[in-house]
Amino acid sequence: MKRELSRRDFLKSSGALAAGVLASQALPFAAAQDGLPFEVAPEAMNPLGLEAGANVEGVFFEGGFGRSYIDNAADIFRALHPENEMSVEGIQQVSEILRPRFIGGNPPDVIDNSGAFNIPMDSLVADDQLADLGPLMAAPALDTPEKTFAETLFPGSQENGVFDGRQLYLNIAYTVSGIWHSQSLFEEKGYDYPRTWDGLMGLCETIKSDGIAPWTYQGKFPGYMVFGCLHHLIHKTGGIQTIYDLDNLVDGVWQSDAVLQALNMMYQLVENDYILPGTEGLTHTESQAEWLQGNAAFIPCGTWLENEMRELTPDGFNMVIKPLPGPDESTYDSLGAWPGEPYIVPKNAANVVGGMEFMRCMLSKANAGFFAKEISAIMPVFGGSESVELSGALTSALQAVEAANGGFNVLYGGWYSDLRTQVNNSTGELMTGRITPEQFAETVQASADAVKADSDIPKYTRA
Amino acid sequence: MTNNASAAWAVFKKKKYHIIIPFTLPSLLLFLVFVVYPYGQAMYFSLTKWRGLTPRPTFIGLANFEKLLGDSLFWNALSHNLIYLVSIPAITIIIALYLAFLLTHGKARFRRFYRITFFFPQVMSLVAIGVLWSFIYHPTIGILSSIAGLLGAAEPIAWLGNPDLALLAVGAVVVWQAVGFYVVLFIAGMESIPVSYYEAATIDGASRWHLFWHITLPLLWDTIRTALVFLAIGATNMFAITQTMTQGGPNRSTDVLSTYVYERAFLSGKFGYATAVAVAMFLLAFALSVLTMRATRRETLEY
Amino acid sequence: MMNKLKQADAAPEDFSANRLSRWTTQSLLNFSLVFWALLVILPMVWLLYSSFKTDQEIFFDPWSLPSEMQWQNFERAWVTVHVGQYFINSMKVVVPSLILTLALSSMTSYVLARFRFFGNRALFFLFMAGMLFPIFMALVPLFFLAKDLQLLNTFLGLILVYTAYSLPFTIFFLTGFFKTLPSELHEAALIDGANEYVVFFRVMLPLAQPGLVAMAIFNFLGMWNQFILPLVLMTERENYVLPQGLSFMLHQQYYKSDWSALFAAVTIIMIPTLAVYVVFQNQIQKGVTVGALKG
Repeated sequence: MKRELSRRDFLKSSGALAAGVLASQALPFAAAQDGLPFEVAPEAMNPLGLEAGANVEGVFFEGGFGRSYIDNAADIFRALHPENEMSVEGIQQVSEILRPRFIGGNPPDVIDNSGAFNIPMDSLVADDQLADLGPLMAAPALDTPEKTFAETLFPGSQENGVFDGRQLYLNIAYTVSGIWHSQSLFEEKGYDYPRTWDGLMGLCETIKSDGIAPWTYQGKFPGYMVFGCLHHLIHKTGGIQTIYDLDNLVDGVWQSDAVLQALNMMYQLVENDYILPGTEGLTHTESQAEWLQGNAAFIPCGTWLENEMRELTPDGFNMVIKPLPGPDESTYDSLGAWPGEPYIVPKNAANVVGGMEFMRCMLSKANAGFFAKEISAIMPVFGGSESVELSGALTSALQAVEAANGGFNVLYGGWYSDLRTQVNNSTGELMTGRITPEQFAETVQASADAVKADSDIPKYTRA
Repeated sequence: MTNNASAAWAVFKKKKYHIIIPFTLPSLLLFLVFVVYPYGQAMYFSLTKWRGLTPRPTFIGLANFEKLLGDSLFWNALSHNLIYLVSIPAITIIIALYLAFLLTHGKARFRRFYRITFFFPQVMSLVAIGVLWSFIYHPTIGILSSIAGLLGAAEPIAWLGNPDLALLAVGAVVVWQAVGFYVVLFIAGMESIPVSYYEAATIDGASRWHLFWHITLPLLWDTIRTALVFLAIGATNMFAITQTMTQGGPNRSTDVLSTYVYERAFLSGKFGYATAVAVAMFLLAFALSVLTMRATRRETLEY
Repeated sequence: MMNKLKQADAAPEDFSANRLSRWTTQSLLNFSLVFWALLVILPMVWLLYSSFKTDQEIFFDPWSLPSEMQWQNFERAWVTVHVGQYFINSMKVVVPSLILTLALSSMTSYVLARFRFFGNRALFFLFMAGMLFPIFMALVPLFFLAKDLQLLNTFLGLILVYTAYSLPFTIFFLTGFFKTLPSELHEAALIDGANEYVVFFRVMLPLAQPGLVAMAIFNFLGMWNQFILPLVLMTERENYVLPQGLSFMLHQQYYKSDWSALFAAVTIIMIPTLAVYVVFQNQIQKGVTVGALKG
């Protein structure tokens, strides 16, 4: 039996849901009448054996991507399984709200464990709290015929979720990070985006003399400056091997020449007074708002930026993302791009199968299309953005990744949360000129050494 | 006592357990179940390794406490508690004494109005105060930044974004919130000092300062001691205000023991270690209250 | 005690000996008072009028008055952020906790203060020990306890916990208070044949009223502000109490940039507190006074 249905009707209704009242958990799915926006092969209808009446509780981090794409996936789920109810709750402080439920042994069935206040993946893994998603990976994909679920995902995009051969989490977004600016502003002022670091410093000087602060960053959360700038510079000065060395906790890597060179480059922003005054007291949305008002020219961020700031973006702003220029032109193209926004299915959830089944809907081609169109972001799903008209920002991101021949990814932060915290904090100190690059290197190296020496922390390696 | 009365008393004493038991048992039960038992368990948890995701801690003896001695983040948080402990009670009490003295001995108009106004922050929710002051300190939308701008500051000041200022900024909010309470407290204390003392001194030609120093202060000593204890207990906690305003940041410059415990437990998932920090915090609070009581024990002047 | 309060009515007016410097002193004095009053009032006023502004106005023109009154900020704060619900939840927890705390501790204190029996001192010190423990230590075990007793996420659970943690100080205070009450009345009532329960409820409790009011206020403020206990014991959003709700909103604003609704929410919370306070300020301040002079 194949279900037929009209794609257009579906998009219309889910779009209306997304744009309208978002607190609509209770609303019955408008298209639940008769099915799905795409054809589903019989063997893909319920490969995991979800029992009728087994409801699914989803609790999701509601951040830059908003929640409409989650509601959309839930609508697909509800259409696919009219006998099962699916609840969607959006939260911000994931750890604070969900940890008690893990301890209590009744976690929700599927969780978006993202945001600044997530539950560290390292402790979830170490305490064996996550369901092995193997059955899901091997199941038929929802709307890509003849393929398993795993085969529809970008190669390598789920690598960081594999622990000892088990797939423990799934990344639902493919994030490109880099430096953002307003194309309109650049055209108006006649600026050209430079291809070398020296060129960038020269441009910053010009911008400054025009009365605009060249840079801002997400002050209260200096981590943005780490993944959006520092890691890029390290990749450009030391190559991918240095990135691997950071991840593998190689002795002395934070004090190596490559890292120090990168730190010194970043520190020039401070020395030359290029950072918007007061930045360190702003939250990420506040600093991004300053940038949108034209008070600063550059800001580091990932591709969720466009959606996150949609309501505060002035018309004709034309935001674009570029790689950070390196010491010389040959290193211009490289940039960070990684699968992110990890979703988990807790092992002790009441309905593990339901959680996995929801993930099949979440990472379906249809939902990936919705994500690209409505959220201007990419899911690591083949064919997800085909026949979807992309925004200028997303197009610039895709071009940049293509030029870079795929982005690099840094893993130590997900493996060792204490080290990540220290790098973020020290970056905040460096960007306010309170420590020197040498002191940064020393402090962070000490923290890395402490992590390495702590036998309680499980270690991982990559090559 | 008459014979009659002592007879009644004797009968009553025999039956006294009829009242003692029903009047103490409910409190005692509630207290044992929800206070004593959890604290006892906490003592055990502090000797375990536990990520707080499963109900199965692993016993590791005193290892957590050993680790704590070498944990610079613990000492960092503790040092902030100590800074608060030294500064907040002293500053609050000085300001409150000053304002209270003005309101009892000055010819200020609208005394009632001042009393009501000063006390008001005390009834506001601490979290609401934290939110309000986060905005006041905000580098771009905050009024403090604008005032600094008017006074000639070239750049907006990120009060809560600057590690040198953040601790001061958070502490100031606590003083702001607490002063009114102690003003009312001290006024009550001052008003209960017999007028004749002042009259006698005034006839002798004593100055206002002299009156304050030689009459008000000594007679108010008990009240000040109470105030010190309250404020000291507050300074060892500081959770709600810190968590709302800075979450211990930037770069741990406003971390206090309570936020550190919270972070270790509920964000990093080190429940055993966090409980050990909390136990250490308890020992500190205990030592301090004993010390405070000792240090401020002084002959109370009777009048 | 009574005497002290009476003397208060005849507070000294002015003892300034030096008439020459009087004017300067007076202005300095007034300046200090005005300064502190402004320090308290200005932030509130700023909050109040900012809550009528748009996000754009708040962010880019922090000083200006609202160009148009944005009543919808309040609507958003009330409807989508559920400030009203949080407020009601807080009341649902705090009022019963307060009643229970006062009832239990007045009974226990009465017995501890007026009866000699084996274990009296031990009991008193056991309760006192409760004042020394930081609540943090108990968080995790408390969570499990509540879970085992099926009290997690229930108002009853929070009420019992609030009460249990308020007992030590309240008992400490009220025991001291009952000790100061004259014993003649107590004995007289017994001679008249009243039983001990009648004595407690008809004679002792009315006498203890100032102490009870003091403790009601102390505990109300503490419970109303309680943040960490509900954070751990109330994990469902529809049960959030006010401080939790506010904190949730603050974090939401990190991603939604709805400053105006947040300002409006804080205003909504402030106004009723302010109203209650102004109406009852006399009792509140008296309560504090009694508390301090005895405690």
